[in-house]
Amino acid sequence: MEAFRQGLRELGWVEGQNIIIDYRFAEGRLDRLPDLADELVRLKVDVIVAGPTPPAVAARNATRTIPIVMTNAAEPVELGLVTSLARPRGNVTGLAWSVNLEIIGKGIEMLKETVPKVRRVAVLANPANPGNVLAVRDVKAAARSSGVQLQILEARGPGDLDGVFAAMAKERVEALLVLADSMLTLHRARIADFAAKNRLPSMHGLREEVEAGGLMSYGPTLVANFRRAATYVDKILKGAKPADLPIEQPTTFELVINLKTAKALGLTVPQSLLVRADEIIQ
Amino acid sequence: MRRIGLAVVLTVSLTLAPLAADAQPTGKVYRVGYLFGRLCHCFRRFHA
Repeated sequence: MEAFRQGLRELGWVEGQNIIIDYRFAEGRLDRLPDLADELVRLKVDVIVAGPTPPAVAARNATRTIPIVMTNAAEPVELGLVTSLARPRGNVTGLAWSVNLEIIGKGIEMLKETVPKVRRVAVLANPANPGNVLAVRDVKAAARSSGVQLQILEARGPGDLDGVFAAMAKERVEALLVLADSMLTLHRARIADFAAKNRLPSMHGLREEVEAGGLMSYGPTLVANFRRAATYVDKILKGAKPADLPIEQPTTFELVINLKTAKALGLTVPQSLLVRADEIIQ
Repeated sequence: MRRIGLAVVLTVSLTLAPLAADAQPTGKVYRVGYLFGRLCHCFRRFHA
Protein backbone atom coordinates (compact mmCIF):
# COMPACT_ATOMS: atom_id res chain seq x y z
CA MET A 1 0.00 0.00 0.00
CA GLU A 2 2.89 2.35 0.65
CA ALA A 3 3.79 1.81 -3.01
CA PHE A 4 0.32 3.12 -3.93
CA ARG A 5 0.76 6.24 -1.82
CA GLN A 6 4.24 6.78 -3.18
CA GLY A 7 2.85 6.45 -6.71
CA LEU A 8 0.25 9.10 -5.94
CA ARG A 9 2.87 11.47 -4.51
CA GLU A 10 4.99 11.10 -7.64
CA LEU A 11 1.96 12.15 -9.68
CA GLY A 12 1.43 15.25 -7.56
CA TRP A 13 -1.31 13.95 -5.27
CA VAL A 14 -0.46 14.81 -1.69
CA GLU A 15 -2.62 13.46 1.14
CA GLY A 16 -4.23 16.28 3.09
CA GLN A 17 -3.52 18.82 0.37
CA ASN A 18 -5.30 17.87 -2.84
CA ILE A 19 -6.40 14.35 -1.93
CA ILE A 20 -7.91 12.56 1.09
CA ILE A 21 -7.77 8.80 1.36
CA ASP A 22 -10.46 7.04 3.39
CA TYR A 23 -9.06 3.66 4.41
CA ARG A 24 -11.24 0.67 5.15
CA PHE A 25 -9.65 -2.66 6.11
CA ALA A 26 -11.56 -5.91 6.55
CA GLU A 27 -8.68 -7.36 8.60
CA GLY A 28 -9.18 -10.75 7.01
CA ARG A 29 -12.94 -10.88 7.72
CA LEU A 30 -14.42 -10.96 4.25
CA ASP A 31 -17.99 -10.74 5.63
CA ARG A 32 -17.24 -7.15 6.68
CA LEU A 33 -16.47 -6.04 3.13
CA PRO A 34 -20.04 -5.20 1.94
CA ASP A 35 -20.58 -2.81 4.87
CA LEU A 36 -17.16 -1.21 4.40
CA ALA A 37 -17.83 -0.72 0.69
CA ASP A 38 -21.22 0.84 1.49
CA GLU A 39 -19.51 3.24 3.91
CA LEU A 40 -17.23 4.48 1.13
CA VAL A 41 -20.20 4.97 -1.18
CA ARG A 42 -22.00 6.99 1.51
CA LEU A 43 -18.89 9.16 1.88
CA LYS A 44 -19.30 9.99 -1.81
CA VAL A 45 -15.67 9.30 -2.63
CA ASP A 46 -14.54 10.19 -6.14
CA VAL A 47 -12.91 6.82 -6.76
CA ILE A 48 -12.58 3.53 -4.86
CA VAL A 49 -9.37 1.51 -4.92
CA ALA A 50 -10.18 -2.08 -3.98
CA GLY A 51 -8.15 -5.22 -3.77
CA PRO A 52 -7.56 -8.05 -3.98
CA THR A 53 -10.53 -10.04 -5.35
CA PRO A 54 -13.11 -9.98 -2.50
CA PRO A 55 -12.83 -6.20 -1.89
CA ALA A 56 -13.07 -5.57 -5.64
CA VAL A 57 -16.25 -7.67 -5.82
CA ALA A 58 -17.68 -5.92 -2.73
CA ALA A 59 -16.98 -2.49 -4.23
CA ARG A 60 -18.57 -3.48 -7.51
CA ASN A 61 -21.67 -4.73 -5.67
CA ALA A 62 -21.88 -1.46 -3.72
CA THR A 63 -21.82 0.94 -6.68
CA ARG A 64 -22.23 0.99 -10.43
CA THR A 65 -21.42 4.69 -10.74
CA ILE A 66 -18.36 5.54 -8.61
CA PRO A 67 -15.17 4.57 -10.52
CA ILE A 68 -13.41 1.54 -9.04
CA VAL A 69 -9.71 0.77 -9.50
CA MET A 70 -9.16 -2.86 -8.59
CA THR A 71 -5.75 -4.09 -7.51
CA ASN A 72 -4.77 -7.72 -7.90
CA ALA A 73 -8.28 -9.00 -8.58
CA ALA A 74 -8.36 -12.52 -10.01
CA GLU A 75 -10.04 -13.20 -13.34
CA PRO A 76 -12.20 -10.02 -13.48
CA VAL A 77 -14.00 -11.05 -16.66
CA GLU A 78 -15.03 -14.46 -15.31
CA LEU A 79 -16.18 -12.88 -12.07
CA GLY A 80 -18.32 -10.37 -13.96
CA LEU A 81 -16.44 -7.31 -12.76
CA VAL A 82 -15.79 -6.18 -16.33
CA THR A 83 -16.89 -7.24 -19.79
CA SER A 84 -13.40 -7.40 -21.29
CA LEU A 85 -9.84 -6.57 -20.31
CA ALA A 86 -9.31 -4.26 -23.28
CA ARG A 87 -12.56 -2.34 -22.83
CA PRO A 88 -13.96 -2.79 -19.33
CA ARG A 89 -17.12 -0.76 -20.20
CA GLY A 90 -18.60 -0.34 -16.67
CA ASN A 91 -17.21 1.57 -13.68
CA VAL A 92 -14.38 -0.90 -12.97
CA THR A 93 -10.82 -0.90 -14.26
CA GLY A 94 -7.35 -1.51 -12.81
CA LEU A 95 -5.01 -4.42 -12.36
CA ALA A 96 -5.78 -8.09 -12.61
CA TRP A 97 -4.05 -10.80 -10.59
CA SER A 98 -4.38 -13.55 -13.21
CA VAL A 99 -2.62 -16.39 -11.45
CA ASN A 100 -3.71 -18.86 -14.02
CA LEU A 101 -3.07 -22.48 -14.83
CA GLU A 102 0.42 -21.72 -16.11
CA ILE A 103 1.55 -19.93 -12.94
CA ILE A 104 0.00 -22.48 -10.59
CA GLY A 105 1.49 -25.28 -12.71
CA LYS A 106 4.93 -23.69 -12.36
CA GLY A 107 4.45 -23.48 -8.61
CA ILE A 108 3.64 -27.18 -8.37
CA GLU A 109 6.61 -28.05 -10.59
CA MET A 110 8.97 -26.02 -8.38
CA LEU A 111 7.65 -27.85 -5.34
CA LYS A 112 8.29 -31.16 -7.10
CA GLU A 113 11.75 -30.03 -8.14
CA THR A 114 12.56 -29.46 -4.48
CA VAL A 115 10.80 -32.56 -3.20
CA PRO A 116 10.84 -35.02 -6.13
CA LYS A 117 9.07 -37.80 -4.22
CA VAL A 118 6.06 -35.67 -3.32
CA ARG A 119 2.74 -37.20 -4.40
CA ARG A 120 0.12 -36.03 -1.93
CA VAL A 121 -0.31 -32.26 -1.79
CA ALA A 122 -2.78 -30.40 0.42
CA VAL A 123 -4.27 -27.24 -1.06
CA LEU A 124 -5.39 -24.63 1.43
CA ALA A 125 -8.07 -22.31 0.05
CA ASN A 126 -10.70 -19.88 1.29
CA PRO A 127 -14.03 -20.70 -0.43
CA ALA A 128 -15.36 -17.24 0.51
CA ASN A 129 -12.77 -15.78 -1.85
CA PRO A 130 -14.08 -15.98 -5.44
CA GLY A 131 -10.49 -15.84 -6.70
CA ASN A 132 -9.61 -18.95 -4.69
CA VAL A 133 -12.60 -20.82 -6.10
CA LEU A 134 -11.30 -20.20 -9.62
CA ALA A 135 -7.72 -21.01 -8.59
CA VAL A 136 -8.79 -24.41 -7.19
CA ARG A 137 -10.08 -25.30 -10.64
CA ASP A 138 -6.66 -24.40 -12.10
CA VAL A 139 -4.81 -26.28 -9.36
CA LYS A 140 -6.80 -29.42 -10.18
CA ALA A 141 -5.95 -29.11 -13.86
CA ALA A 142 -2.26 -28.47 -13.12
CA ALA A 143 -2.11 -31.44 -10.73
CA ARG A 144 -3.43 -33.79 -13.41
CA SER A 145 -0.47 -33.02 -15.65
CA SER A 146 2.00 -33.03 -12.74
CA GLY A 147 0.97 -36.42 -11.42
CA VAL A 148 0.22 -35.26 -7.87
CA GLN A 149 -2.81 -36.11 -5.77
CA LEU A 150 -4.61 -33.21 -4.17
CA GLN A 151 -6.44 -32.81 -0.92
CA ILE A 152 -8.44 -29.59 -1.15
CA LEU A 153 -8.97 -28.08 2.30
CA GLU A 154 -11.15 -25.07 2.90
CA ALA A 155 -10.99 -22.43 5.61
CA ARG A 156 -13.44 -19.52 5.61
CA GLY A 157 -11.99 -18.02 8.75
CA PRO A 158 -9.29 -18.56 11.37
CA GLY A 159 -11.70 -20.77 13.34
CA ASP A 160 -11.50 -23.37 10.56
CA LEU A 161 -7.72 -23.65 10.59
CA ASP A 162 -7.37 -26.18 13.42
CA GLY A 163 -9.79 -28.53 11.64
CA VAL A 164 -7.86 -28.10 8.40
CA PHE A 165 -4.57 -28.84 10.15
CA ALA A 166 -6.07 -31.98 11.72
CA ALA A 167 -7.31 -33.17 8.32
CA MET A 168 -3.86 -32.64 6.80
CA ALA A 169 -2.18 -34.59 9.56
CA LYS A 170 -4.73 -37.41 9.24
CA GLU A 171 -4.27 -37.70 5.48
CA ARG A 172 -0.49 -37.61 5.82
CA VAL A 173 0.01 -35.09 3.04
CA GLU A 174 3.60 -34.55 1.91
CA ALA A 175 3.46 -30.90 0.88
CA LEU A 176 1.23 -27.87 1.17
CA LEU A 177 0.05 -25.37 -1.43
CA VAL A 178 -1.46 -22.20 0.07
CA LEU A 179 -3.58 -20.09 -2.28
CA ALA A 180 -3.29 -16.30 -2.09
CA ASP A 181 -5.99 -15.00 0.24
CA SER A 182 -6.18 -12.13 2.73
CA MET A 183 -7.42 -14.27 5.61
CA LEU A 184 -4.80 -16.97 5.05
CA THR A 185 -2.05 -14.37 4.76
CA LEU A 186 -3.20 -12.74 7.99
CA HIS A 187 -2.72 -16.10 9.73
CA ARG A 188 0.51 -16.98 7.92
CA ALA A 189 2.44 -17.49 11.17
CA ARG A 190 0.01 -20.21 12.32
CA ILE A 191 0.17 -21.91 8.94
CA ALA A 192 3.98 -21.73 8.83
CA ASP A 193 4.16 -23.07 12.38
CA PHE A 194 1.94 -26.03 11.49
CA ALA A 195 3.99 -26.75 8.36
CA ALA A 196 7.24 -26.64 10.36
CA LYS A 197 5.95 -28.95 13.11
CA ASN A 198 4.67 -31.45 10.54
CA ARG A 199 7.75 -31.11 8.31
CA LEU A 200 5.70 -29.99 5.32
CA PRO A 201 7.37 -28.12 2.47
CA SER A 202 5.02 -25.35 1.34
CA MET A 203 4.41 -23.29 -1.79
CA HIS A 204 2.64 -19.93 -1.49
CA GLY A 205 1.29 -17.21 -3.75
CA LEU A 206 2.55 -14.34 -1.61
CA ARG A 207 6.07 -13.59 -0.44
CA GLU A 208 4.94 -12.41 3.01
CA GLU A 209 4.05 -16.01 3.82
CA VAL A 210 7.59 -17.11 3.00
CA GLU A 211 8.98 -14.32 5.15
CA ALA A 212 6.84 -15.82 7.94
CA GLY A 213 8.44 -19.26 7.49
CA GLY A 214 6.89 -20.82 4.38
CA LEU A 215 9.31 -22.60 2.05
CA MET A 216 8.79 -20.73 -1.22
CA SER A 217 6.42 -18.45 -3.12
CA TYR A 218 5.82 -17.78 -6.76
CA GLY A 219 3.46 -15.11 -8.05
CA PRO A 220 3.04 -11.59 -9.39
CA THR A 221 5.01 -8.77 -7.80
CA LEU A 222 2.39 -6.96 -5.76
CA VAL A 223 4.34 -3.77 -5.11
CA ALA A 224 4.53 -2.98 -8.83
CA ASN A 225 0.76 -3.38 -9.13
CA PHE A 226 0.01 -1.03 -6.24
CA ARG A 227 2.22 1.62 -7.80
CA ARG A 228 0.42 1.17 -11.13
CA ALA A 229 -2.94 1.59 -9.37
CA ALA A 230 -1.96 5.18 -8.59
CA THR A 231 -1.71 5.96 -12.30
CA TYR A 232 -5.29 4.78 -12.79
CA VAL A 233 -6.50 7.00 -9.94
CA ASP A 234 -4.57 9.93 -11.44
CA LYS A 235 -6.20 9.47 -14.84
CA ILE A 236 -9.70 9.10 -13.40
CA LEU A 237 -9.37 12.20 -11.21
CA LYS A 238 -8.29 14.09 -14.31
CA GLY A 239 -11.45 13.07 -16.13
CA ALA A 240 -10.78 9.69 -17.74
CA LYS A 241 -13.60 7.15 -17.69
CA PRO A 242 -12.85 3.70 -16.20
CA ALA A 243 -14.59 2.13 -19.17
CA ASP A 244 -11.90 3.56 -21.45
CA LEU A 245 -8.92 2.40 -19.38
CA PRO A 246 -7.80 -1.14 -20.33
CA ILE A 247 -7.08 -3.56 -17.51
CA GLU A 248 -3.45 -4.48 -17.04
CA GLN A 249 -2.25 -7.96 -16.24
CA PRO A 250 0.85 -8.68 -14.16
CA THR A 251 4.06 -8.72 -16.13
CA THR A 252 6.59 -9.42 -13.39
CA PHE A 253 6.62 -12.54 -11.25
CA GLU A 254 8.90 -13.33 -8.36
CA LEU A 255 10.23 -16.49 -6.79
CA VAL A 256 11.17 -16.22 -3.12
CA ILE A 257 12.84 -19.11 -1.28
CA ASN A 258 13.36 -19.42 2.46
CA LEU A 259 16.59 -21.41 2.88
CA LYS A 260 16.27 -21.32 6.66
CA THR A 261 13.00 -23.23 6.34
CA ALA A 262 14.52 -25.60 3.78
CA LYS A 263 17.34 -26.38 6.20
CA ALA A 264 14.91 -26.97 9.06
CA LEU A 265 12.99 -29.41 6.84
CA GLY A 266 16.20 -31.17 5.82
CA LEU A 267 15.71 -30.19 2.18
CA THR A 268 18.32 -29.20 -0.37
CA VAL A 269 16.87 -26.68 -2.78
CA PRO A 270 18.29 -27.51 -6.23
CA GLN A 271 20.69 -25.04 -7.80
CA SER A 272 18.37 -24.79 -10.82
CA LEU A 273 15.78 -23.14 -8.56
CA LEU A 274 18.19 -21.01 -6.56
CA VAL A 275 19.49 -19.30 -9.70
CA ARG A 276 15.92 -18.43 -10.69
CA ALA A 277 15.04 -17.00 -7.27
CA ASP A 278 14.45 -13.26 -7.01
CA GLU A 279 15.12 -13.39 -3.30
CA ILE A 280 16.62 -15.97 -1.00
CA ILE A 281 15.91 -15.68 2.70
CA GLN A 282 18.93 -17.03 4.60
CA MET B 1 5.71 44.31 -34.03
CA ARG B 2 2.23 42.78 -33.97
CA ARG B 3 3.65 39.63 -35.63
CA ILE B 4 6.35 39.33 -32.96
CA GLY B 5 3.69 39.68 -30.26
CA LEU B 6 1.58 36.97 -31.89
CA ALA B 7 4.61 34.67 -32.12
CA VAL B 8 5.37 35.19 -28.43
CA VAL B 9 1.77 34.43 -27.43
CA LEU B 10 1.75 31.28 -29.59
CA THR B 11 5.09 30.09 -28.23
CA VAL B 12 4.05 30.64 -24.62
CA SER B 13 0.69 28.95 -25.24
CA LEU B 14 2.28 25.91 -26.87
CA THR B 15 4.84 25.64 -24.06
CA LEU B 16 2.28 25.82 -21.27
CA ALA B 17 -0.42 23.68 -22.89
CA PRO B 18 1.16 20.28 -22.05
CA LEU B 19 1.90 21.45 -18.52
CA ALA B 20 -1.72 22.45 -18.05
CA ALA B 21 -2.87 19.06 -19.29
CA ASP B 22 -0.70 17.26 -16.71
CA ALA B 23 -1.40 19.60 -13.81
CA GLN B 24 -3.66 18.61 -10.92
CA PRO B 25 -7.14 20.09 -11.07
CA THR B 26 -6.88 23.15 -8.83
CA GLY B 27 -9.02 23.93 -5.83
CA LYS B 28 -10.86 20.69 -5.30
CA VAL B 29 -9.70 18.16 -2.73
CA TYR B 30 -10.56 14.69 -4.03
CA ARG B 31 -11.61 11.76 -1.85
CA VAL B 32 -10.28 8.31 -2.58
CA GLY B 33 -11.77 5.27 -0.85
CA TYR B 34 -9.30 2.47 -0.21
CA LEU B 35 -10.84 -0.93 0.49
CA PHE B 36 -8.46 -3.71 1.38
CA GLY B 37 -8.83 -7.26 2.62
CA ARG B 38 -6.54 -6.92 5.59
CA LEU B 39 -4.65 -4.28 7.52
CA CYS B 40 -1.31 -3.91 5.81
CA HIS B 41 1.70 -4.15 8.12
CA CYS B 42 3.23 -1.22 6.24
CA PHE B 43 0.17 0.83 7.24
CA ARG B 44 0.66 -0.11 10.90
CA ARG B 45 4.28 0.99 10.65
CA PHE B 46 3.41 4.22 8.88
CA HIS B 47 0.84 5.24 11.46
CA ALA B 48 2.50 3.82 14.56
